[in-house]
Amino acid sequence: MLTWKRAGALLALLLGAALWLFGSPSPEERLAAQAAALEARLAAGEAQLEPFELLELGHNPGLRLELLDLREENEFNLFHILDARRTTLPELATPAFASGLPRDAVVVLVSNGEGRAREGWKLLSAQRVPRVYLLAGGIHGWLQAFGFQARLGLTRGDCPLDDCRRYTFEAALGDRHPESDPGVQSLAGREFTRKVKLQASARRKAGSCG
Amino acid sequence: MKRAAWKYMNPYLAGVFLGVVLFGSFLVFGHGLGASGGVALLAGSAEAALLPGHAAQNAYLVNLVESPPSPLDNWIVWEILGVVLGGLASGLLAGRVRPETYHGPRITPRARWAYALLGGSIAGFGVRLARGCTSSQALSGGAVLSAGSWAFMFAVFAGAYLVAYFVRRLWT
Amino acid sequence: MFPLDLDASVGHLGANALYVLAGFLFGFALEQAGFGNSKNLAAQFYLRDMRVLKVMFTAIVTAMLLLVGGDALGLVRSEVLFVNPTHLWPGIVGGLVFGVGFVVGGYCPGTALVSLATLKADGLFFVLGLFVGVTAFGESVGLFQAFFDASGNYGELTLPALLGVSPGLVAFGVVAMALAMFFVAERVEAHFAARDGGKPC
Repeated sequence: MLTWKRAGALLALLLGAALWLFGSPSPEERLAAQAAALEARLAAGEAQLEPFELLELGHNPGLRLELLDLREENEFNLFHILDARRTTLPELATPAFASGLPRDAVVVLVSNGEGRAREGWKLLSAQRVPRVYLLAGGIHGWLQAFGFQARLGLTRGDCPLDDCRRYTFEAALGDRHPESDPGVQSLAGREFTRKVKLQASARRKAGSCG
Repeated sequence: MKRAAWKYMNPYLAGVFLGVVLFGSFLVFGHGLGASGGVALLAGSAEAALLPGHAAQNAYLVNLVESPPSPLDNWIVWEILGVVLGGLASGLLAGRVRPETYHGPRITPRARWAYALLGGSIAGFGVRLARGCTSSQALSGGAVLSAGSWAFMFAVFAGAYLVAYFVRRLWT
Repeated sequence: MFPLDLDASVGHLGANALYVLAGFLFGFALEQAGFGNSKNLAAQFYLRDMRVLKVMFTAIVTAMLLLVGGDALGLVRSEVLFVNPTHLWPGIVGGLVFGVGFVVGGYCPGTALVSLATLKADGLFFVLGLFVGVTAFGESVGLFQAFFDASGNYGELTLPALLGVSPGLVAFGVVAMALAMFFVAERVEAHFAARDGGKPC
């Protein structure tokens, strides 16, 4: 009996030590381990939400939407989608960021095109945040989809991750542009494929005494 | 024919068994085990059924009883049904199912019933205040390293050891 | 990848059946451990039989190692597991009150159900007491609602987040602490067994 006890104690201690030493890969390490699978999911278009679906989600009162804008601060101040909040790729790479996201939220990443949003999507997905998506075509896709093509036209081609700004606004009004929220009426007659699976039943109350 | 009851399982072995069941619960359901929540839900539902007008004025009860709308929609009611069945099955296997009262050598069974009722009432208040019991807070929360659950766990041992001396007549 | 999406895979009825099964194994383990007997539970607080401590911490260590290990191997998505929210002061006061009820009544809710299932009258009375206590709480919580809701409310706070270290290090610390407690517990048991001269207490 004594030997069994000692063996069990030793095993538990060794397992604990192993978890201490090897158990908590950083987000970058997790990303490196899963890079190929994540790229395949991006290539398959699993993660990209059409602008129409994002607008619909934004107007769904029963849903917790975390709209994360990965652009530069000046770009964000110039224009952003209603209810977006700005963050950066280095921030997404900290474990605290992923664990700080509300568990029931639908997370959507936004950048100018898709460059930074794809990187952010891979980072969060590698940390296994549930329900992460990105806006297909980024801000450009948004302006295009809702008929604001006139805003587009700027050409620059030397930005990292191929994520240059191609739109112009006369004033840095943030989310007070009409383009920030085209309104649900602009969805009338649109056909698009929804990718976010809305949960049929609310999550069972796990903690009632739990 | 009466046979001798089994010995109780080695506590470390029983702990590993319990830990694996707890892990399984997290794997399948995404949360741990519970017990007191089921009792609270049944008590709240009973109160709402007996005194509907009274219960409807109590925000806490309304919240407890109405989400989800029927107790049978709540997992914990099914789980405590399982706990009773599992305890019964184990007791039958081990030859420990018979009507009796466990009590300390210095008190009568009747006194023990009164103390069990009193202790149950105190514990019932405590588990609701702490949002969980030994199963849901200490075991389940402890395994996922919830800070509050660990504080609760040490508070339980502290509370029990603090008064154990004064109620020693009950048990020794 | 775990946990499973139950409603999608087995449906509502199947999920309920699984909950009965989980409860069954839970109750079975408690009964086998000797927790259907209030004397085994109370003995913990008179230092004669530290079964409660041993079973509880072995169970926590086992489940914790499997969960943290499963997370490290990428098998368990620990981010979506339910973590009891930390309401520090209600938790501590409730824990102290519960501890008193534990030693006076001889059970906790789960073990009382098992005791009741094996026809122990003290288990039945404890369960009846629980009904009284939870009802009393529901009736009186309005008097201290602010304390209950907001006092020390840190939300989902885990020890690794609180201490700013990796879950693996906390797991190692918990294992070391549990083993130290087991070691002391066995010494204490041996001490009292020798003093009581082998008499059952």
